[in-house]
Amino acid sequence: MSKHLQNYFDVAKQQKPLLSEQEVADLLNAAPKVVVKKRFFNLKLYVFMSTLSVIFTAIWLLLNTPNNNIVKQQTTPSQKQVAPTTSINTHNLVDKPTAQQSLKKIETVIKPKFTLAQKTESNQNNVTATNWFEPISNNSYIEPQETNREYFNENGELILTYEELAKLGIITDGNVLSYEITTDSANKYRYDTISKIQTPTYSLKIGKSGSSSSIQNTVDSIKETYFKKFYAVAIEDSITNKVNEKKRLIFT
Amino acid sequence: MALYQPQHARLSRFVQTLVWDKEEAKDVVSETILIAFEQLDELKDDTAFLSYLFSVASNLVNKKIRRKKFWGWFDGIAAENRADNSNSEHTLMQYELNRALNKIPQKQREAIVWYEISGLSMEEIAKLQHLSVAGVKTNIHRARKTLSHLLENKEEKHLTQMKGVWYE
Repeated sequence: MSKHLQNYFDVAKQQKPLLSEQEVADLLNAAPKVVVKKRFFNLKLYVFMSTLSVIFTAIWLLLNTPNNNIVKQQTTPSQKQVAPTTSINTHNLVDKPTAQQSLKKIETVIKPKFTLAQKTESNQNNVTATNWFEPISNNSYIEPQETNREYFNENGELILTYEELAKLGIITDGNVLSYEITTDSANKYRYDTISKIQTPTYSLKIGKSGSSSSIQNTVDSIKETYFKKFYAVAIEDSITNKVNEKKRLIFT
Repeated sequence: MALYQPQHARLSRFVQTLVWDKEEAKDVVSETILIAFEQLDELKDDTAFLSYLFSVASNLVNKKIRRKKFWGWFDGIAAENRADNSNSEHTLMQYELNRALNKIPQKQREAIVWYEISGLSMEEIAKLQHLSVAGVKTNIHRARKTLSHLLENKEEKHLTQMKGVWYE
């Protein structure tokens, strides 16, 4: 080692301690006694618990995954239930052309047809006597199934009866307001059960009709108050795979 | 306290050599003592206390050096002025040594200061640094070589400046 460097070290060795022994003693006496509280939850425990919970959740999800191949719906005939007991093999239905075609039909914009004769009949039956502006029910109302009825015509347009139109609030004061039924929910998604595939939502748009101001006011109030939605449900027969066999209307 | 008393001067010299600012050096010494005494009950023997004490001091000193390197842009000029205005030749030498030590690797720096200034044995340093004695010797040798180079160059540069000749 060079002498030059040794000089530096010698100088450094001569440094006096910064704190005297008395100062160190005072420091130790004055030091607050720190009591470290041992927490029940520390970081390790958090990590361990979260890992454990993730593992349990994964196991639970694995065990509770439904079998997608066969979906069995069990329902008892009731007014509020839509689908009867049906066993649907969705695995086979994916590529069925009949299902695809029926979906396309329901997605189209539907304008229900009602004739002048129906209008007259409605007036004769005093449909206006009922206050149709009141909500039908807070709960869903399911139209009873009519096996012989054709809900859709050959063009795929939904045909509503006059009474149904009245329930939707379209008929007021003996007049039929112009209306339009459009599909809200396009069937873009494929669900597990066929009943969901073929359940488009329809919104009722009530347009302006009539020349008098009273009708116009009524129309406005309908627009504000009663915006009704209803569903057309088609249930596919698992054996024949025919879609248009059974249909119902559900008013909400 | 009896356990600490023999180490007091050693510790103080170690900290003072590496931390230039006196107030900061005082803080480091105080903090080291407090931390070491908090764990005193858990230490088994005197050797363990020595190791623990110097490990704590080393961590705190390195923390200060890292911070100083980061903020050096801002207070470097102040440090230079303080050194230049000092009349004591010893203070200037201490400052130069401090600057030179900060330029060498941490292991070498600690090894040479502990050996040459604090007076720790090779075995004690080896235990502190988790190295073999041969490794410590190598570190000390390299540190000496680098320090000699740095400090001699510094002196030459200083002399040339005094003469008014500027060599780059």
